Amino acid sequence: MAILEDIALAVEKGDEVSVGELTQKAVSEGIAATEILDNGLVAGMNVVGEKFKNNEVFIPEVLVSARAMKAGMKIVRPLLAEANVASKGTIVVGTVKGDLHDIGKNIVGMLLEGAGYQVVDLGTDVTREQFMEVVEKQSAGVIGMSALLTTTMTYMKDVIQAVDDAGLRDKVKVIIGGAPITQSYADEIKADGYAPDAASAVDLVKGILG
Amino acid sequence: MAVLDNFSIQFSPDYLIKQLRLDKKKEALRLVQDLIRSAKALITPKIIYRVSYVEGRAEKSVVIDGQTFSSSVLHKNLQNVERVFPYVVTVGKALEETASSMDDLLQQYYLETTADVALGLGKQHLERHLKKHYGLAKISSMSPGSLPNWPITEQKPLFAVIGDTEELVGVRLTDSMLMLPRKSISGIVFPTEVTFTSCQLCPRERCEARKAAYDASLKDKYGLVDD
Repeated sequence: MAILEDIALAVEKGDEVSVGELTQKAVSEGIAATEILDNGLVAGMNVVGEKFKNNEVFIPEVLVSARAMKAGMKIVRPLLAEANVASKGTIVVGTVKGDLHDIGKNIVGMLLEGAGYQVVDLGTDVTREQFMEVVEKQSAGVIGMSALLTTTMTYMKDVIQAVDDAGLRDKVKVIIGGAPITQSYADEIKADGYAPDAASAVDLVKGILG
Repeated sequence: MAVLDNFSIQFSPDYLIKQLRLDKKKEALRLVQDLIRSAKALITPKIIYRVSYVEGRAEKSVVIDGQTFSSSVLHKNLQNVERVFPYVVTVGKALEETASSMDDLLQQYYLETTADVALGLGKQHLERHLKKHYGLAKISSMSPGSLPNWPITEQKPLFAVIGDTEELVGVRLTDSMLMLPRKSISGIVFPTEVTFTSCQLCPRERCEARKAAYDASLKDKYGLVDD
């Protein structure tokens, strides 16, 4: 549908006003909220995500597009709730204990919400106990951990151990990211995934939760 | 040890527009001017540095003012250097607290980036000051954590050399080697004949803070064959 392509393009360009207007127009034309979300808003964000992975755009452009997408989400979210459309799954995100960096984690959370997931953001300096309490309460399928220091990334292993100890290893997957993190580190601590950037984190979660 | 706290940060709108990857339009200039205004009202730039001396050298370490720093890269860079300047630069905590409380992630990012620019400008102020007051010509600097060869755990001896940074400029080092306020930087400035940047030894492919291209040919010179 042309209007959904227009919404996707407006998200890509970061045109907040047009996204809002076009989304409202799509709703009034009777297009289903899930269609608008998946084939308009998320589709546009996916293009931006790919460009980000290919170094064609950078964090500011991603945030401008995400803000535009949010303008559309504001309109469709109540409609999705009305129709009892379930989220695609719950992910708990946080920066690990001893670390206070949050921008990268915040971007991941925002992109995941935009992609239809319920995100529970625990903030920074998060202990394994805090992760586990919320994971169990929310029946989360994924833990996403961030660390920006070589001194704090080691705590990620403790959180994975906590998931093991709780007997939840087959139900709860753990993905990690942050400047000092590498794929080989993720393999070493037996994380289920490593995301070198925010867009890749969304792909990882899609692969796990669907 | 000296504290510099009576200087202001002079932002360049054009530079900030480039850093924030804004299109060069009127709106961008207005946005950046607003950001600069907000940042100036929130930052309290301060610098602390010490005039220190290399007291000893081993194969992959140097001793500066009684503290041992383990890094073959630092050792190499200070081979013919006797006097160095360990430092901390901060812009205070008000800006990061304001940024953290923002709902709009884009605004948060803009403000945090402006703080990073302010830190860079603060360091340039330090460098100008050192060149003027200590007769230095060319200088370079290194910071713990910029390279695996000089890990962030080396912040501990660095802060031990500088002195009571918390009392004098409001910066403390946590157990996990995080500086608080977060918008603070630290390192050692040293005289050099050839400009050095840690980025030259860092092979990371994607880094928005890169200041120089990676040069693999330098690995041998700095004894990084196994790194």
